[in-house]
Amino acid sequence: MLVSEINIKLTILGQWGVGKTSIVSTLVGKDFPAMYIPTIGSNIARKEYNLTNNHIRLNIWDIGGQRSFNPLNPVFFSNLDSALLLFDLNNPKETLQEIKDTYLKNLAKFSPECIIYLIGNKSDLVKPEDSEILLNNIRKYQIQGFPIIFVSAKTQDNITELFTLVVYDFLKKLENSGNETQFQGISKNFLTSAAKSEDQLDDLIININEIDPNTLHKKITPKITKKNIMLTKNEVIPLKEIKDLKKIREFNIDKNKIKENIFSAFKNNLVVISELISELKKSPINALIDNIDTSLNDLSNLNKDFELKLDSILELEKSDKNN
Amino acid sequence: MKNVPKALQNLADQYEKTIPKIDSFKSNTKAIQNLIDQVSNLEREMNFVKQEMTSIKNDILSSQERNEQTIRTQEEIIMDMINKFNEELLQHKSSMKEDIQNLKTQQDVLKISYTINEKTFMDKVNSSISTIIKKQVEGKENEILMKIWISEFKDIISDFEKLKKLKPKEFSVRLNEISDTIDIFKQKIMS
Repeated sequence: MLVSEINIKLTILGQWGVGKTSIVSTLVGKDFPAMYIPTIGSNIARKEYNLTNNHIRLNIWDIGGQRSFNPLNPVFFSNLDSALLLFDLNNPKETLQEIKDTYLKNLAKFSPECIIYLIGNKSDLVKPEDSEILLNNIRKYQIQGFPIIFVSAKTQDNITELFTLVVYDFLKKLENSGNETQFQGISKNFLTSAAKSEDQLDDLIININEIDPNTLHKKITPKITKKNIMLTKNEVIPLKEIKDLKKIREFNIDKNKIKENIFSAFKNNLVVISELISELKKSPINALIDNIDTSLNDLSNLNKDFELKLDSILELEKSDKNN
Repeated sequence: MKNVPKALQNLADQYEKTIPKIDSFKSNTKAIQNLIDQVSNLEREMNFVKQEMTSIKNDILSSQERNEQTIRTQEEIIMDMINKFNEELLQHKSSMKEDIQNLKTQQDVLKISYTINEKTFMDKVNSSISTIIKKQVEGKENEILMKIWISEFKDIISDFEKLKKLKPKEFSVRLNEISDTIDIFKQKIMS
């Protein structure tokens, strides 16, 4: 039986420290990071879903949010199918402002067709008494027209469901585009295989203008209490924006860990390239030119990312020598 | 003169008539005599020339003979020298053969010794180089691999646009090459 491949390019954007990497780590089954290590450039993760006739590959581009690592580079915004715009439920003002001012504008410019979600992370830290202030703060920014979902990477609340929703929405869009008859019914099949219902996914979305603060907390609290997550000492270190890697010593971050992290992401992205070429080999002739163009775009992005990673390691080395 | 017999008169007349002839004859005789003298002189001169020529011929012959003799002598001398040289060469050759053999043996010994020394030297050089490189590279292996990969990857990307113009078979071959290159780096970076 011929199995068709579906690739979804999803990017996760948001200010530094909002938990982009944590969310991806949680989704792909890695441990919640014990300490904050900034993502430099991009780190690509993959989540695969196998249906009877289809193989769905969710390519998740986790983009480092530190401004000094150039997260606003247009390469990170092009050819996207979906985007998660992350904000911190404990710091909604600043992180939502960043989304409104920069990420949304760039997405509208470089990937106007992509499906956008507004994701509030760290729901485990929302206290019942703060719910109203939180909702008011979010309303103030009037970022409308996008589904808003609250998640917690730490407690894993709504993480799997969120990505299920992302894939489901994409598949529905694919069905509605009507270009390929072979995809008819695929979204339903996907939901069945994910053991989720449309109602459950709808339930994730928070209607920010109508929801009652008490309902909100009820909506997110019960799930959190189910998880038993141990807090480590490192987690209480306040996050700071790194404006210059040379001054990394000023931050309470293990430099070697950053280097390890960068190299690990480098390796990871190399594997992605290898897979990308393998997929290109399997391309049907009629889609070859388009696939080469898309691949070339991704390869160019990754090349810039490799350079950024290497430069960052060299910067860290320099800071070593200077100290 | 009336008394002179007619016959005599006739004779005298005839004589008178002959006198110019006789004079002419005399003159001719003289001329002939002169000619004869001249011929004699010429003959003498010719004889002299003949003698001279004979003498020259003899001189040439004798000179040629002498030259030939000289050449033969020189030839003999040269042949003697050549023979002598050949003899000496043969003698030298036979005496040198042993020397050459000895030299060859020495050369072989030197070659073996050189090869051994070269290997030892190269081993030492390699070991020194690798020690230096190791020291230089220590802790930077990842950066170096990253640098090499980035440069290789740039080449891959610049080649990528050309893929569209390739025929399916060439496309597949080139893509396999790219895939192999990536796999090599993947293995190196992952190890």
